[in-house]
Formats: sequence, C-alpha cells, structure tokens
Amino acid sequence: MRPVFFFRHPTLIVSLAIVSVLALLRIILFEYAQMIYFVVFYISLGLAFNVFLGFTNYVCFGYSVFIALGGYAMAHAIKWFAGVLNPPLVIVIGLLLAILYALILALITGFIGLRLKEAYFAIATIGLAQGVRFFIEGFHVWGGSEGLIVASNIIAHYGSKWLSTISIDYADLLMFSTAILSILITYYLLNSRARYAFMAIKEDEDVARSFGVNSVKYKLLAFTISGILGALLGASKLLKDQAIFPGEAFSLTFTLEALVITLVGGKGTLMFPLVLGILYAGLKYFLTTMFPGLQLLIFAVIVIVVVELFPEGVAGWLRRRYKGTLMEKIIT
Amino acid sequence: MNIVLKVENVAKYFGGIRALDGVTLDIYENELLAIIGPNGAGKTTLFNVITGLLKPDKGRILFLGKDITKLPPERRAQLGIARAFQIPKLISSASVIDNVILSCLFGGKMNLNTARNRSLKVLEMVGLNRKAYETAGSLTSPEKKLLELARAVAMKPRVLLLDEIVAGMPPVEVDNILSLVKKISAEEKITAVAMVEHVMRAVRYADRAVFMHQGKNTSRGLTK
Repeated sequence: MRPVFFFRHPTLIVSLAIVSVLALLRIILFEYAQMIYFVVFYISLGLAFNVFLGFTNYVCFGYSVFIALGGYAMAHAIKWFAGVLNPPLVIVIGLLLAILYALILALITGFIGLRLKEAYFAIATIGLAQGVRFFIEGFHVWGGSEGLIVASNIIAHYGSKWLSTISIDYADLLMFSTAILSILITYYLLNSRARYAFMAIKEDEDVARSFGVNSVKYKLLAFTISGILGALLGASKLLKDQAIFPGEAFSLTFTLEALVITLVGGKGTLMFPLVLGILYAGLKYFLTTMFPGLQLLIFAVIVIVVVELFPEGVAGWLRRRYKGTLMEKIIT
Repeated sequence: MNIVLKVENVAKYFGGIRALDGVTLDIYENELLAIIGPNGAGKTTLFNVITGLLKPDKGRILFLGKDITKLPPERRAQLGIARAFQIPKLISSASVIDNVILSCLFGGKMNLNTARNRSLKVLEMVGLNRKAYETAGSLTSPEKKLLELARAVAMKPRVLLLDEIVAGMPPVEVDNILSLVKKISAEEKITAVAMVEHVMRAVRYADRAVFMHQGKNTSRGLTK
C-alpha cells in the first residue's frame, strides 16, 4: 500500500502549510499585513537565491539586478499599458516582461560567466548590478537616476482606489505566489534527475563532467530559474512601492541578505531558507528598531558563530541527529 | 580485433615539461590493457587527455573511428569512456547508491528507474549492495575504491580507464580488485585500461602491457 501523501512528501506539505498559515494570518490580522508581506518577501528571497547558490555552490554577487529588472519590467507595463488594459491584465504583462528581462540577462551573463569556476564567477558578477545601474543612469534610459514612479499613472487611469488595491492586495498576492512557486520549483529540483547533477557539480565539477554531467547546462538552468524568481519578487515589490530608484534597487543589500538567509542553516534544502527567511525578517524588524543601521553587522556575527558551531550546516547537523526519522525527511 | 580507442601522436606540455611526448596507442575491443610506468611517466596526463579534462597540444584521439579530440568530457563519457580516479572522487555526503545512480543517469543516459536497478546490480557485483544506503563518506578506504569502480562500470562504458585504483593498497586487496576488474570487464564486455604499479601483476591480469617513461610509450607487448 502506498503511504499517505504527507509521508511521501513531508517537506513539501510542511513548507506549503507554513506559507498557508501566513496567508491565513494576512487575511485575519489585516493590521499586520505589512509585517507579513515583509516576512514572505524574505522567504521568497531566500528560496529564489537558494536555487542557484544552494544547488551549485556558485554565488552571484549581482543578484539584486534581477530584483531590479523585475521592478523595471512591472513599471514599464504600467507606464505603457495603464488606461489601455484593465489593471489585472497590466500586471500579467508586467510579470511576463519581468520573466523576459530576467531570462535575457541570465542567459547572456550565465552563458559567458558560468564557464568560470566558483570564485571567478563570483568576482565577475560583482560588477553586474553596478554595471546595469551605471548604464541606466549614464545613458538616461528607464528614467535614468531619477527612476520610475508609477503611482501617478495608476491614479490618472484607474483612480486612487486602485492604487491601494494594487499596492496592498495585488502586491501581497503576487508575493505569496512567488513564495509558493519557489517552493514548488525547489521541491521539483530536489526530486528530479537534476538533483544528481547538482550534487555532483557541488562536489567536483570536473568529476561531474567525467560522469557525463553537462555542468554548464545545469548551472545555467539554476541561474536562470533563480533570476526569474528574483524578477518576480522585484515585480511584486514595485507594486508595493509603486516606484523604483536605481540607487536603491541595484544596491548590494538584497544580495547580502539573501546570502545570510541561505548560508545560515542549510543551503540546497527547501526547509531552511524558508525558516531562515521568517527568522531573518523577524530579527531584522526587531534589530532595525533597536539598532538601526547595524542589523547586517549583527547578522555577520551570527553567520560566523553558526558556521563555527555547525561546520556541516544546521541542516547537516539536524539530519545526523534525527537520522531515520520523519524529521530528517522534513528538513531536506 | 577492432580498435576501440586510438591515441595518435599525442603531446601535452606544461611549460617546459613534456608530460606527453608523441604517445601513440591502439586499444582493442574487450582487452585488458595494463599501462606500466614510474611516477611522472605521463600516465595520468594520458588519461586526462583521453577523458577530455586536458586538451592535447598535438595529436588526436579517435573513439570507435570518430575524432573526439575536441569533444568536452561529458560528451566523451556519454559516448562510452568511463574513468575511475586514483583518489576516489565520491560525493561523500550522498548515499552509496546515489553515487552510482549519478553515473547511470548522465554517463549511461538511463532513466531514474533503470538507473536505480542498474546501480543495485553493479553494487552487488562489487559486494557493496549491503551498504547501498549508507553515506559514501562512511565507507572504508578499500570500499571507496570499489565504489569508484562501481560508479564507472555502472554507466555501461565501452572503455574503462582505471587510474591507479590499486595504488597504496595491501597486496591482497590489489589482487582482489584486479580479479574483480578482470571478471567484470569480461562479463560486461568492457575494454579496460588499468595503470598497474607492478609488472608481475600486469602479467598476471592483463592481456597486453604498455610501458611509459618520460611522456613516451617506450615499449608494448602481449603478457602471455
């Protein structure tokens, strides 16, 4: 007899249950909607970043470029189609544009950059976000250094009621959808033949190739998926903020935050970036209030302590401790 | 006998060092060829050039009559050239069976179910079936060598390159592994090329032997 669905897919069920509880809280406790959005943003950020770093051990220091491009894509859709199409359709076009922008950038940079080994790729991507930012500012494209503000377009074409509907309901819905999509994709990758390819690439790329793994193809796959999820995140953020400014959008902050979420605990797992996303959002909220401006410095100390205490990662330690139990399956 | 793999006048230089200096070699179908030579003779470099991890500066490699000199390592593996490394390059945190499934999936181009069945069969051949679900990192040193061998055999290669897999092992283990290689290559119809430290072992197990010295294959001949 086949085991019940939960015992066959415990990680997936628990992950989706966590997001569902947050969605329920968002509906019941509307006054905490902003806080819950904040939490789901960091869940999605951790999971999206983890698809590349967690599965390949490669770091993209220019990851914020994908979030920024998603924001610009949504801003373009609103600028170009507001008043022509109804708001939900404009948002769908914004999402498609976000995917397209991320796809083009990921394929171009990945196809060239992913032929480099880990450290060299990381160095090469440091300039990626800043390069695109200087291009936008220097050539005065996409609003140049002044960025793009879409609130006025929404009010002019749909009225101020739609402004709050888009900023609150649609932004939240899109953020939750991105989190769920990230969970499903991560789970699929963890349970498909791609898992074996990623496992081998992480251990030794030359050996992986000797056993028939096309390492560039799999790294490009992870990089592209991670980039697209980042762009969807950025598109949702644009709906929330209704404006995008290059100085903030291309800053290193999101990349560093994603690194913290992914590295503490267990990269390459589904459960850890999710749980760490929640913890990070909560801690950031607390630390920003108590020690404004110092939260990343404090997180740096936390990362060092965790790495020292758990050299195999918290996930590895827990997996060893709960070997053979349901807990081991859940924390994969 | 058909030639499976042909190495034609291959040279590889590292700065002023001639690691391979015009090596020419024919490897015949279903034979067990021993490559003998001291450290620094160029044996591992030759394997790296055959598997595509290094590009030769001169010469070419033909596999089943096709020039594969410019193919990347993954394509060569998929065509049927497998390699077991001198120091087992296992995925320590993964299970024993997952290490073998990996090579079946990508080198052997099998689907997941076939790969799982094939892996269990090969693990049984090398005597590791009872440890299939333990982590590769928990195996003893001789078991790791066996897993390295199983991983290469599992992808059903035409040519199996064994890079000093018995180096540093006690004589009993060396004989066990070389007997196993001979048995498996005969059963699975695999052409095997093994680097062997001792001439007497090459004579005992191989069909033919090639001697390498300072990047050249100085002599060759039948062992029987």
